[in-house]
Amino acid sequence: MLRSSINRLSSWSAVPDQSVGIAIGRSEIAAVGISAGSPQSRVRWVRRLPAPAGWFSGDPSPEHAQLLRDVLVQLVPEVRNQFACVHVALPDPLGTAAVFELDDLPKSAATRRQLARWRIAKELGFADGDIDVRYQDLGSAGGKHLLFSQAVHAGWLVSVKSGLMQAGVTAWSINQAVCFRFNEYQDPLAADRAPGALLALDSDAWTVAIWDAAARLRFIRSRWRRLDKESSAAEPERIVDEFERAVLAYVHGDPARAVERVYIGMAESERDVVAAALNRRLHQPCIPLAPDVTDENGASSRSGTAELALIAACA
Amino acid sequence: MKIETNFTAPVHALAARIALAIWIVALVLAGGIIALWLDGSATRTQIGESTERLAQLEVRRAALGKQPDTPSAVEIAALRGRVATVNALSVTGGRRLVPLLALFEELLPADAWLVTLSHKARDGEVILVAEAAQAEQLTQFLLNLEKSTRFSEVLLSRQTPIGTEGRRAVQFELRLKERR
Repeated sequence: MLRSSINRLSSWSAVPDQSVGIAIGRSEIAAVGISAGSPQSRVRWVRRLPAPAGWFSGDPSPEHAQLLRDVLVQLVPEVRNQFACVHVALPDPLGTAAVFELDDLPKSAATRRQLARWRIAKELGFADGDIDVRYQDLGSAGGKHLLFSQAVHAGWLVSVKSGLMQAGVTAWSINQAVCFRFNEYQDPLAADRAPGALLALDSDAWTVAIWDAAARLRFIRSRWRRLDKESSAAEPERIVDEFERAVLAYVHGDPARAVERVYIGMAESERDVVAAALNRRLHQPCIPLAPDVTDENGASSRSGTAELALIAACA
Repeated sequence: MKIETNFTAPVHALAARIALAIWIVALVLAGGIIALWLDGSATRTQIGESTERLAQLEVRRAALGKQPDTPSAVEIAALRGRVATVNALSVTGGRRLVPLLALFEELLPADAWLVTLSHKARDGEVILVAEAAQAEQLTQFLLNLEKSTRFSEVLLSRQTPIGTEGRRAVQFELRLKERR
């Protein structure tokens, strides 16, 4: 008993050797456990379960949190009531993110938060109390201060947090999928020193992210995907079409803006189709991005949600 | 530039500090418990020794209380009374009579003599009766006594003529107080 207690105490004070990523989608919830290794991390397990009915649709209720708890209890039993590194990714269309170019940045954090909340609420058309807002100062470019602001639906965020708490899962971070993706590929993107754009497809949503030569996010747009069978065949073409329009709109907005490289991030099952559709429109082939993790069975790349969970686990 | 926003409180950042604090508190408590245990052990040993010593003292006290030759409290009180009486009787605190008589011999005129002498050595008082044919001799004796440093007070308490027509005399009764 004493040895067991000592082992538990020593494990509390140390960084856990396993990291878990949970991606909560509209139709599916996935979790991936990876073990930190050198030089490469390794996928230990991948699990997926259907999301509760009505999840991320309409208004949240206390029952949603209980349904999420039931799913998480099956999905991540090894991290329940444990000191474990857990990161949770939310679908991008659950909120919004934008980079505001400001002539002057408020000095106090409270005023910056207030400004970010006001701008985001105005863009979304939500009341202040309906969204939970975060912001980050990205420095300045072209004489303008860049304020990265993001917001998610406050009610659904409460449901997610409540579900995690009821399941005994303590999340180290909860963030939108685009932030996990962008951070995961930050090193190669910064090394390129070229402005680029990313088209990311999850099981339920797709996202456009554009950054400048200093690898700073400058533009984010996301949409829910249409999951009906009738539109699924034509969906890749439609998404690529919208992606192209978004990139062109961004570039034409300011002569100083440019996109030199295009990257795609998505599950292996969709990668070829989307890449082919995208390459037909580009003058150069798009570059696929995948997390630098050893996955011997390839289980994480079979689903967009699982791939996102893997990326979150790498955070 | 990485995005560092987070929609939940970074509790893991506090985990290491809390774990360290728990370890410190646990170590302090363990140290306190060990110190108390050691102190308790020492106290238990002292209690045993003290109990044994107390028992020995009780035995000695009982043995001393039963000694047969020891007088009772009443006997001790009576003995103390007798000692006090003897002391009172033996310790007069006055002077010897012989030097006093030698002094009177010096001070008496040639035609006067002592008839009686009473010496209360404890009180330092001398009562005497001196007799002479003429009162002048006794007056001289009275003056000599007053001049003497031996006495602090010289008092003529009675003057009595005595004798018949053929032989007449005078007696002085004197009361003297010796100097202390």
